Amino acid sequence: MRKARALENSRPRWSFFSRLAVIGFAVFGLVGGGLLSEDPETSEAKPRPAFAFEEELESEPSSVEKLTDRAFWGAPPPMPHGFTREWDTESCLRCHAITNDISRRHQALSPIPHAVLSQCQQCHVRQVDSEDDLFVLSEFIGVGFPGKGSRATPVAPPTIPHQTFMRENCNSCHGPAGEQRIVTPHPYRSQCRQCHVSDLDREYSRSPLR
Amino acid sequence: MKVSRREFVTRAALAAAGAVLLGKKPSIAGEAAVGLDGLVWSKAPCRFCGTGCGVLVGVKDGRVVAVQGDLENPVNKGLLCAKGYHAGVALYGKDRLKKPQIRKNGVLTDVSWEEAIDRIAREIMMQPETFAVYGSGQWTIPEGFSVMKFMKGGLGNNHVDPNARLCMASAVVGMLTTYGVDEPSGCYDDFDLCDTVVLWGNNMAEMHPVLWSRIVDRRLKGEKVEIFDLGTRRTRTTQEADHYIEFTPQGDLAIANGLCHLLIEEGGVDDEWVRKHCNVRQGRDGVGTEMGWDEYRKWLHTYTPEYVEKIAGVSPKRLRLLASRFADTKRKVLSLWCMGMNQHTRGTWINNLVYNVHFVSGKFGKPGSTAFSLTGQPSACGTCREVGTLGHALPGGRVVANEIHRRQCEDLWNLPKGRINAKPGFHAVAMFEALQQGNLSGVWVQVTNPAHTMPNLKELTSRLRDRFVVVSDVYPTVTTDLASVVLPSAMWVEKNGVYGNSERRTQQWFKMIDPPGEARDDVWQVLAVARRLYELGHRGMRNRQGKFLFDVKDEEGRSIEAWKWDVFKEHNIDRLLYEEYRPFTQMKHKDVAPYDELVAARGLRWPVVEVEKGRWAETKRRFVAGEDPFVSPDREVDFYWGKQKDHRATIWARPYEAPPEVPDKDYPFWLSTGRVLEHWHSGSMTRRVPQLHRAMPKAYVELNPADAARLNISTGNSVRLVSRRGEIVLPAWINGRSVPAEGSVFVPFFAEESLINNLTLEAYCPMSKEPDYKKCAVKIERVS
Repeated sequence: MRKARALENSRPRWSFFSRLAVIGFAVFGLVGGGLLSEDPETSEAKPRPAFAFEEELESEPSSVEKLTDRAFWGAPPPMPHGFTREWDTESCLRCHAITNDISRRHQALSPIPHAVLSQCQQCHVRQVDSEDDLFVLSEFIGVGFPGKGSRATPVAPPTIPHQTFMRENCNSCHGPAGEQRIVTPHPYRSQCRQCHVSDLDREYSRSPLR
Repeated sequence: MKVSRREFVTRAALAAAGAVLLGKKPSIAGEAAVGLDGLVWSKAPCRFCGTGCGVLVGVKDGRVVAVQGDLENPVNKGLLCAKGYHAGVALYGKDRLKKPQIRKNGVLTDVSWEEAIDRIAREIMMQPETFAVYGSGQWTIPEGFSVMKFMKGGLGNNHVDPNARLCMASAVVGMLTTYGVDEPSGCYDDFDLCDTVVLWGNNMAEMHPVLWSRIVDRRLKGEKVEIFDLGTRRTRTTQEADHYIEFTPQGDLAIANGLCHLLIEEGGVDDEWVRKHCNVRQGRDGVGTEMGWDEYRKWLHTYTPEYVEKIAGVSPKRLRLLASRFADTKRKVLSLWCMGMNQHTRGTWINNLVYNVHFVSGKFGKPGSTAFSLTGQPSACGTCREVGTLGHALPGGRVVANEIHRRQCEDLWNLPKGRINAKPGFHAVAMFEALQQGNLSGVWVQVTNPAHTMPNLKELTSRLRDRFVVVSDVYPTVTTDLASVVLPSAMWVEKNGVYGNSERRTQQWFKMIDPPGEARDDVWQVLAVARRLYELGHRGMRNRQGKFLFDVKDEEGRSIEAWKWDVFKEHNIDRLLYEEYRPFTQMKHKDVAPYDELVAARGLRWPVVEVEKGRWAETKRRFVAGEDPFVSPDREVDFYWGKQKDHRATIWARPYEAPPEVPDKDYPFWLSTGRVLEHWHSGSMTRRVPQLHRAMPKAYVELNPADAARLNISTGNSVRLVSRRGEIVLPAWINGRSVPAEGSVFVPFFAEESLINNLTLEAYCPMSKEPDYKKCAVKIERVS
């Protein structure tokens, strides 16, 4: 029988609402008082620095490692960390913006792989619950990493083994901030698709329509 | 069969293999494509809301392993929301129902399909006239159609109603009373063209995220889109809005009348549009009496900006600002709404009044200018509204009370004359009242969860255990907890299906994987019960020739024993039922596309007509010359189903009326309920997606920070909410995702362990019978 489990979980550090409180407090820090200053409980009981969520960030695995939390390869990764404001696309872009400036590329923390869209949280949802506290276990097994591209000869550039829709910015995964085994050996090149062509059958949704 | 699913996949696989050899790209325009990694990708509409996004579902070894947005689908153009991307995960919750169950000695016990079907048929046989079906806007079109034929054409009672009654009934009656025929005139293309969007109590950023992106992403391309957010709560949507106009609950009635008053008195009437395309009526019902323009103008004199401010709390300056957008002849204005206007004790009226504003200003039936009702379920339009799975209705815009309509349906269904009962069946709330009081002996619940979602739950569902309740579902819910018989159903891509979305787009998909365990299609379940009743001698289960009611014939005209599971699963019964249904749609100019056209397309918007042999054209905007094939050649706009038979739409004089329960000194706060982005409806599917559950694990109550400070409540505190009907304890969230207006609180309804509907009010709009989940009075106290 399913058991709806509330969030009074045994997780030692951050419960759902204390996290929210911290997020709220971060807002407090950012906007310099405002509405939350009327909230005595938050300001007294949680005397944490305004940017406490950064401390949380450091202690969490990096967002790249967190990608394994995705349901399947190609699903929008959930947010592995807190955010300052509920709605703020701008604050997401502060860290995740795409940059073509090679000298600044390493600064971007997993830059977004697709064009800038207005509503980050439409697809990327914040994970507030602990991992072992599910409503009901899932038996879903998602498709995994697509594997390597093919090469005509050992020195030929490999093909792109995955589709490129919503992954137009190669640098997002293959740039310096990417996972070690897929980082490009030549980050100074910027026209990736000059040499790396798509495996034709991966681009399902780009097929000419009827 | 034209082309079966299996042939398609085989063909696609061969095509893909050939494509590799020949160096061609595989195309999934028709149906499926196979990649080198063995994934078969097929198109389907998303399982969740009424937007109707196109998804591509990746299947490998008989399991769904991935979902992506369908770039070729014009609804979403490749983008999805968090729910859509995870629609495939929702199939795989560990507790999927896999065996039929019957309650024996108080415990649900696994039984065979034969035993379950036999038990249901025998129970119905005892009291066929007091057995009802309660369905939903998640029924596929063939599912809803088979239930209608089974109940109205077979059992001979009209007790069929869907949860869509709780969702968009007011929009339906609004359109029927305004222009005589259901469903919107405009379409999503208008979202790309409008200059100003007016949201009437609508949090699109969370409820219709993909459509919201379609609007706000235009700004990234340098386009100017102005957004007015009329609401009672600051939401994610408000963050993108240029103007937030907060109003007192129910004040929308006064605002809409106030806008018309300003347009008429201060300039902004499109005289020609009104003269050519409108009539004016007054009254409290759907008929009303005629009213002259001058009389209407005089009637509006009550709704001065000052009066509107008194009723709705909106300043004259802000009301004039909004009116000025309608008055601007060059500006294209789009109104959007969903539950805020529909779940309203005067839901029909407020729908009428919003059309008024668009009619008076001539902002209707033009690209970018229209009033568009959004829907919350994937086939609320396709099934509940078009098939007409409502107590009073028949397929294709027919009604049971009309003798000619009954004859038409009897002819199309090949039934003896007089089979269809003229007495309308119960609407949703009345159905559950009748089950409480014993006026109904049993109910078959399909694809929905009423013990979670009906208003005032204790009053309306506490005696379900005493009735014969059959529940067809995919997961255990609070409703299956009360069931006498539980039938495990196939879900989404585990069966064939056809859905109709908010913009009249009919979308088809093929079965891609087998359902788990012994789960079977809802259509089959209906056919099997009907067949068992036939065998037990129920006379209604026979057609004119005395043969079985569902005399399903294949392409060659041979009868198929579709009630046998082994036969059913070898045929595309969906296609046969859909083609049987299609002629119904031609009686009220709602012509849906042939099944095989839908197979090849990413959905088609009805009316779909054959413009030349073999070429079918869809309709973007109804009633508009050059777009809608049914418009008279001499008219530019033609409301051909206008109630007064004058080809005009009606401007209705509908007064402000206070809601039935308002906060007082004992219960001083407004309570509003709704959804959140991560969860859909009662959460039975989305809560089983780990990524979505972890993002939104439990219900909460949102308070205004000023109220919270006064009551010494802060985020995380436990708060007790009490209404006259029930109470609940929830954690408080202040300055969280949304901020309700001072004096009001908001609670999402997805969590089955926190049933907020124990508190909500069952009062409903007397015309649409849709209850108001957005307004009732509660008191609040801090518990810890």
